[in-house]
Amino acid sequence: MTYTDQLTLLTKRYNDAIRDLERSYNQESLKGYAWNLTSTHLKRQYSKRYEALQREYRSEKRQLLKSWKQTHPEWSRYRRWWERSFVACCVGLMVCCTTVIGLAESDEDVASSVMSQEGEPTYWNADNIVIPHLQDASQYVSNPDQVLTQNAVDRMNTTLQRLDSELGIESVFIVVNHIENDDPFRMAQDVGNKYGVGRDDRGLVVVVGYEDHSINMSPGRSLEADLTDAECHRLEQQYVVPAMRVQMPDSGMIYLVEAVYATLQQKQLPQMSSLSSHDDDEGLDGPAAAFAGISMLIIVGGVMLFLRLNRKYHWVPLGAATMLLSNPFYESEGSSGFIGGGGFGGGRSGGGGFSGGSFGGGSFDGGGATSRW
Amino acid sequence: MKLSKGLIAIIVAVVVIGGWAASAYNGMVGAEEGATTAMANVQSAYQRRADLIPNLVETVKGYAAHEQETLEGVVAARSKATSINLDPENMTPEKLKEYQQAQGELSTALGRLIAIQENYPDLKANENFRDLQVQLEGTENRINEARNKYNTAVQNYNMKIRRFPNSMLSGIFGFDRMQKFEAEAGAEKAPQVKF
Repeated sequence: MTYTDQLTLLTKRYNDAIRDLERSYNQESLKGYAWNLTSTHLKRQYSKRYEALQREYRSEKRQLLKSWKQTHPEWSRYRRWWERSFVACCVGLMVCCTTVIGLAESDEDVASSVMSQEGEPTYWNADNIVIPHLQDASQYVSNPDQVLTQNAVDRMNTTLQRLDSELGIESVFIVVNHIENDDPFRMAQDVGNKYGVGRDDRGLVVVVGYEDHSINMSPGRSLEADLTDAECHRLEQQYVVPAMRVQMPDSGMIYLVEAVYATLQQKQLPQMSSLSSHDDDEGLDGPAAAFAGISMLIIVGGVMLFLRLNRKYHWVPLGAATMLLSNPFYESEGSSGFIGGGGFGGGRSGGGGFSGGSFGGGSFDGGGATSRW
Repeated sequence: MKLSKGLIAIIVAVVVIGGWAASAYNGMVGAEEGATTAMANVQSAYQRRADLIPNLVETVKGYAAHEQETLEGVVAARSKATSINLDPENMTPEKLKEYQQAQGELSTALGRLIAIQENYPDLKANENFRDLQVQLEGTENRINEARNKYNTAVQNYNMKIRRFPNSMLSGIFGFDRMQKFEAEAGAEKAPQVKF
């Protein structure tokens, strides 16, 4: 007879006793003893008798488990191993979940802190905008209002660096919430002329006012022939405006940068569907998605393995036959408490220093296009 | 022959004044050239706008042949505007004003032409027409930027020739004040388009 069988028999014995107790209570209630004892008092008496039965059952159950462990040491060892593995898995998953959630929330906290710290929105112009390229030659994107995620900025920087090294086109992409006088054209021209963006006048300045719903692309004097006004407008309408309308600035800007690169390289323009697998403003990013997938696999695999082994070794009785009936005389007086698990915060470390860049002294004559959505 | 002190002083003074005069003259020439180049850029931008008009007229004609008056008005304004050329060497305030006026009339005629798209949805949806509109907007921006840069260059030149002691030389060598582009009278009011 297995441990489960013995436990089933024990449980059945006590469940029968509880049913007898319930029958006795019903009979006493009907016989009219309630005239001498209030129904609440009678219920309380029977509830105490149930609790006594419950204590006896638990004691016998512990005795049964203890004797089974002594007579079956290997069974006991495997059972202990599974208990510890289960607890370790649960703790590990909790830690990883908390870390991933903590990382995601820290991105949002940074974005919200920009607004909350300053209170009023900043209206950017060529004089107060920060140009990261002057501090770090690998940075081409200015994102002071955190409109874009860091992943999007990194991806844009990679493509813009290729634009610089392969085609000699210096660029500045500015993405902010509000622009002074709601004039992205003026800001682009002023930034381009003030900092001299572009070697041999082949520079490109793009300014986006996300909450102003405007974008301007301004090519340098010598770049206008390659990136005409109509071409700039078409790129804005095809890639930026649709994405901004559905509040996906990351997608819009990544597509725009890729399209500018493809246009100037005279390659085929990117299709928005082909870039969707790389960019997802609302879903999980790479590490989080991988973690979620692996966690599910571990959980499902572990549960299936446990069920298979439990059928063989009968560690944990899973059927209803091994569960004691609940107290039929119980009147709710309160709720039980739970012990919550702890959380662990994640952290990020900052990067090191980079050498600053400079611009080639380019000039801008007013070319390009502006779009609004 | 031993030179007297007086003679030496005179020679030194002549050399110093000559050096200064040469430097000042070169500075004024440089500033004047900068201003004339800026004027050439302005005219180039206006010409770019004029070059867009034939294509624009043909596109509109295909959809709005009834708007003969508006189309002819644009063509006439374009002819008038392109017939006036500014020579930076012989530019007078009157010539600049005449040039500005002609360009202003062309701007007004173009505004009327663009506005008729509201009555012709097919024209409004035409890709060629949209591209031309974008190019026109870009050209208007270029005109504004070129005018601003010209005004800055003229300001720089005028200050150079009017400041003492350059002002003594500017009259001798014929450096005259240049005129800036000014806003047209009534430009602060939006034009009313009548059909």
